[in-house]
Amino acid sequence: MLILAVGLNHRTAPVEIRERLSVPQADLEPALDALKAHLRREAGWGEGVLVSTCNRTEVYAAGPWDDAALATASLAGFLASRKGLSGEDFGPFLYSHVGLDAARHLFRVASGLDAMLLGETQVLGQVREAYLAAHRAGSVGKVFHAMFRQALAVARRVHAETEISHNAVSVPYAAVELARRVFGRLDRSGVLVVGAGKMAELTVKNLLGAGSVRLVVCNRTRSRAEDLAAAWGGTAAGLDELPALLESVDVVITSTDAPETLLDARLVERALARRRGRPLFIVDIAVPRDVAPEVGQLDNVFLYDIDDLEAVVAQNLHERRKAAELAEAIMDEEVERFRAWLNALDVVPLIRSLREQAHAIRRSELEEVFRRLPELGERERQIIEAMTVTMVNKFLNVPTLKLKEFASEGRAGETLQLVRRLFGLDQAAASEAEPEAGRPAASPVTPHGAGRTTLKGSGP
Amino acid sequence: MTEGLIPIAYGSTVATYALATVGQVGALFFRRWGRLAVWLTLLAWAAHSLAIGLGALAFGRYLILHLFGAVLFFTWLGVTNYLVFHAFARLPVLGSFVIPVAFLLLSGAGVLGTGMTPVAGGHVDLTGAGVAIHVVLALSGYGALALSFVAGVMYLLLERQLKGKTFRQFLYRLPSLAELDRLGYRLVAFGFPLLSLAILTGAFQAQVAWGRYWDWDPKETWSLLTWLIYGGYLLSRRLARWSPRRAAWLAVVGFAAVLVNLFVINLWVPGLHKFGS
Repeated sequence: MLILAVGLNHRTAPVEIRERLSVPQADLEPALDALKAHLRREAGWGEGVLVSTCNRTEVYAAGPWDDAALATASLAGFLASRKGLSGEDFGPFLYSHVGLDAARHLFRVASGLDAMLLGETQVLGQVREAYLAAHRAGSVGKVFHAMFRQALAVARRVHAETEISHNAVSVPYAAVELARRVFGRLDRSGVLVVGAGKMAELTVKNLLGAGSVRLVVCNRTRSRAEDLAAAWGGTAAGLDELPALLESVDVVITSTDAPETLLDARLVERALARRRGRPLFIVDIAVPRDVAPEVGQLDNVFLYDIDDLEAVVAQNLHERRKAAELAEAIMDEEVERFRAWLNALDVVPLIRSLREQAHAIRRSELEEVFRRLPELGERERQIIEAMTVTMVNKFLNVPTLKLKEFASEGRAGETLQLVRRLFGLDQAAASEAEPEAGRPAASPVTPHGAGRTTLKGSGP
Repeated sequence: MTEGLIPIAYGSTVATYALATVGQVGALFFRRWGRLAVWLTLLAWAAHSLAIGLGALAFGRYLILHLFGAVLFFTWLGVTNYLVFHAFARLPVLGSFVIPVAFLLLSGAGVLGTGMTPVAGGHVDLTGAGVAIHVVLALSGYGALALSFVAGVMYLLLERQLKGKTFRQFLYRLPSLAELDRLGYRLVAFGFPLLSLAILTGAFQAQVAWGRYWDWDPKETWSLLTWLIYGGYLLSRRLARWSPRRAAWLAVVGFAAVLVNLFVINLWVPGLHKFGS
């Protein structure tokens, strides 16, 4: 069995390409049905999940391929064919990961290590949705249940054990985070916005998202203030009301294009005297600056200009990269665990067929003996039968233990193949499996049932 | 019998606090240590409780008339308070500051006051229940004020980072300035009445034992000074005249006065409260 991940993301493909391959939410269900049909046609059976976000489109598949290159081409063809294109068109933009690398890739994607914004958490929800959709469509079997559930657990572990998703990495969000360091909860804070600009708007949106309810928009022209206040859900004020407003709000965002400063130390100091010890947090994102730098030296005032915020963001990004190194070590551990699981998945059916074969031989030989010795009484028969059972079990005991040992050590692959060939288990499996599922019996790993439930779509 | 076990219990208390300190400070830098740090803290608290239990069995209420026992008792109150806070409010990172302080106080008590010599008392019987109440009130007050000191230190650290605009990562996990300010205020508001009652009951005891309510004994003078500092703190908060930063400094200074009162005055300054004769 092979596990594959084939797709493209923001690093390998420009947006014109990404958008052509992306699978919109509404199209996901038919796409998954098509994937099931594709896997059945091309490989005989298989499990499949489609992950499509604005930054990536990926197909994960597990199936009984022998040749990774062929399988990759087949999946690329599938992605392209959905849009009436051919896989070759996208060749240069696609990446593929095979086997445990595919698992590692999925773990990294879910943890935000492969994201455009390092450590973002949104992608975790998207991976969960993709898995659940595939689950509903019945294209997930034993292998992907394990792999995707582990991926979600890995992501949670990464977010809990490293600081990768901590600390804002955009200027507006950094401003909100800093305000939170001062005030704690922001849901009763008053926010004053002076002037309007893209960055100011984004900061306001972020603050409103954090729960700030009291918003005052102040502008040189009254009508402009009223427009913005209406758009953002606040009240409007003129510049002349600034001194009074400074006494009542908690957060001030300034972004006017005025050449002169708007707030100087004297103005703020006067307001502070009437603030009864409440801190004042000022974000100055205007260039040239709206707030005199001396204001930042006043006790209980926290002033951040655009350069300060950029510096904070740069520092946070640096911290995220450090956290990402820790996260990569977690990836190693988790891939190792997945490998152990896969090996155990291999070895259990092998042990079962080994035992079944041995006991089948035992039973037929026993019948033969009983047929030739009809004079044996019930007691003698029982004793002989018990002896054969003990012999077979004792003989199989050591190989069973050893096989499990190999599996846990992660070097099962070739050994299992050898055992299978040594005992001629492939033919036995083939004759057993063929009539039921019509899937190639030579598939070494396929747990009995995994492929079948997949194709019948009988998942819970 | 139980008396002989006290050094062992005290030794394991200090040792487990040392481990808990390493865990708690480590948790500032490595998030994965967080859970381990909490377990080590609980272990240290258990050892601490055991030491106090043994001390109480051996000495009864005399325990807190020794410097050693007194420190053992009031750090225990402080850590217990912290654990209760932690269980309900889960203020992050608080333990990384509380536990090292507890460790230092406990080690200090061992170094400075191992001999179980009781407070001198000037040939007066100190075994009465009134004296015990006086001491318990004072030590409970100190427990709360020790935590307000920790909140003040955390406030000042975070305030400096926010002003200086360079951040150490763990400071992102500190409670916000507003929360630290509120916490410090509440702890002083809790500790100050206890301190006041301790001074009042002390004056009453002095009247019973020595016939004078107030004698300008060094301990009395320092207690008055400490009381004024915390009174000033509360007054400034009521009047809302001071910035929270100055209040945090006052909480730090106030606790320094408490420490002088507890260690310096009791050990080296002659007076009615001096330990040993």
